[in-house]
Amino acid sequence: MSATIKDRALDLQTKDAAAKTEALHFDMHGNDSDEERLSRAMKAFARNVNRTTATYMESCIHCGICAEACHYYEQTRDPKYTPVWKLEAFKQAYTRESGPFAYVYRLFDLKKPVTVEQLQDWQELVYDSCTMCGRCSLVCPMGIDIATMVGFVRQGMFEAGLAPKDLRAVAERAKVEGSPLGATADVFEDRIEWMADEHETEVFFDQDKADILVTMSSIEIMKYPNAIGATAKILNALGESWTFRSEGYEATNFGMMTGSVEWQREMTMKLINAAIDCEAKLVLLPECGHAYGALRWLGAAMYGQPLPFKVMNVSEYLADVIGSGRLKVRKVDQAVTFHDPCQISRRGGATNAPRVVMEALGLDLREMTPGADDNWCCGGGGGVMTIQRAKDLRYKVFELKMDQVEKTGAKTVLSTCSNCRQSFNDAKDHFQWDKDIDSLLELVADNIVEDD
Amino acid sequence: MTLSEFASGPALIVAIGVFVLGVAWRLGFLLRMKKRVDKSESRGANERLGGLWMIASRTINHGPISDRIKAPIANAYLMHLALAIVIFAAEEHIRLIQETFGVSWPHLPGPVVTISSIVLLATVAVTVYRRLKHPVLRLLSNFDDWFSLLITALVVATGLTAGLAGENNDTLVALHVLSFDVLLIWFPFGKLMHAFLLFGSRYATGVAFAHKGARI
Repeated sequence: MSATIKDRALDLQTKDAAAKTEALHFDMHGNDSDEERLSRAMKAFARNVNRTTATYMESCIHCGICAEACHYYEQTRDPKYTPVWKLEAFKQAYTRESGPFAYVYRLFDLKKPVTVEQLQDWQELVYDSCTMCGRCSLVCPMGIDIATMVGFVRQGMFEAGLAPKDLRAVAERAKVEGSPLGATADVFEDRIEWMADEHETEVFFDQDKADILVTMSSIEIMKYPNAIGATAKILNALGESWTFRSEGYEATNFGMMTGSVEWQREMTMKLINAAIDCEAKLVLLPECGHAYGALRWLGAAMYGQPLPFKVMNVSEYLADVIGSGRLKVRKVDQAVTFHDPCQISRRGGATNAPRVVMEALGLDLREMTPGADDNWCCGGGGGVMTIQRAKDLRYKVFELKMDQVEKTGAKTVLSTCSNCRQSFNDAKDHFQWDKDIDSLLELVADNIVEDD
Repeated sequence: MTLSEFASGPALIVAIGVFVLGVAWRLGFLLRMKKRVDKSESRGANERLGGLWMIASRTINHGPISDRIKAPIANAYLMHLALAIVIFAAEEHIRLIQETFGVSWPHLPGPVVTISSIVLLATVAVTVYRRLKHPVLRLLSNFDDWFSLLITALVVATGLTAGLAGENNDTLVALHVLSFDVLLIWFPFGKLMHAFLLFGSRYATGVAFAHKGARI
């Protein structure tokens, strides 16, 4: 199906009528009427109206600076990719239904009601062309956290049955099977046995009690299973009490990325319950960007109270144990560059952790420009990696990343996100690129100095 | 009643009333809204300080932006600087403030204020030009953007011509005050409110980023 943004009647908030958007594609789930879809979308929008989001909606000065930070705009110069424009449906609904002058806007019809057609038009903007990387949130002169707001817009879209079918299918599979990629508990157990043999290390599974509940991303389980062995080797070398648990091992949260709060909660609660069941003091999250955001920063909201355990990304844990001298590593004579996963560095505040680890490994780190918190997103986050129709745009955006990497002169890119790694590997195949993308976790595991 | 008496009398009183009530309503509306409580474990930074720091940092630090946008940002700085000079350093304005509120401060020489007014109008012209030409700004711009620019320019232009006219400038002064009345009335409803709102939005994000330990 396709739709075109229609010209709208001139009103106080009408945008430049000359700004047309070419044909867009959208998916629609279910057979509900437009009224039902809209009603659910509006309820989802209303649920997310609070002091902060309302202030954001009131504050935008239409300066357009956010566009200059967005990889989609940077690579296409198409104004529709302006980050704050992606919030337009939410803003329109807020102004007409919830804002301080909502009554006036409705009385004089100064702001038109949001329509299903409008939401259909916006599907591409909030899913295909936004990874919620948060670069826009770094530059907004009004301090609007646009990336967080895009997540709220997605919630409305999902409720309207307007999440892209590819992403929705992946999320639904994760809800039904416990994994978006078929990494069911049985499959996971098989992989664990394989990796235990492969790495000649013990992998603890379904222990009644453990200090650390270890989790994996489905991408790691299915595509980069060495992460299982690497994690086990490190934890065993440290003599930690740890376990995987069959009822909560998968850390990705496609519910969150799709915009389904119900699925998000369900996926998060599996981890929380697993940790509580084994009385874990720490939940160790894998090399996965959004898994960090989902549990570390949003887990308590899903649980309804503070989490009764600590949550760490594996890079933070490695920085801790290496920094404190508990884990010793060999020096590695290698030039690398590091790709900061947006949700762990810029959005998560753990920018320094991998650098502590890389310094301990003695790597010749060649930072990208811009790098660290300012790093360009690889274009695979926010569920975009799963949306087939977004592929060409994703590759276009990845050219920015390739350019950044090339300029460092390093042949190897390290990262702490398996989704970024997958995005790099996919683009590597597409572009016949000669760079390697490796896991920092696995590099550490390969270079542990065992005590005699 | 002359135009001057109308502009400085009932029109000004109404305008100030709308301004005060409108600003109070819009800000009060936001402050009355439910506040989202983040129950995740903080990374430990002082979150309130983070909020205050973001208010300051976003004034001077524009993060990872391309060179393309640096000239427009310089234009915006210049506009706000000139605006501050014109509003708060003009002898006539300080005298009016003293008569109304009983406080005063030294003024800048007339030519400095005049030049600032001209600079301010020039920066508004640049802003209008960009809004008309730049695809992103064309997409984002609405009535609010255009009217806010227009009324600001009108107040400055009438003030500038009144100042340059010297003696017998009653009509120009009346038009200046009248356009200022319109600006005051429009202020709470449009983007001019960013003069107040920026503190709220920057603070909220600063608190959230400090909570996570993210760069502010």
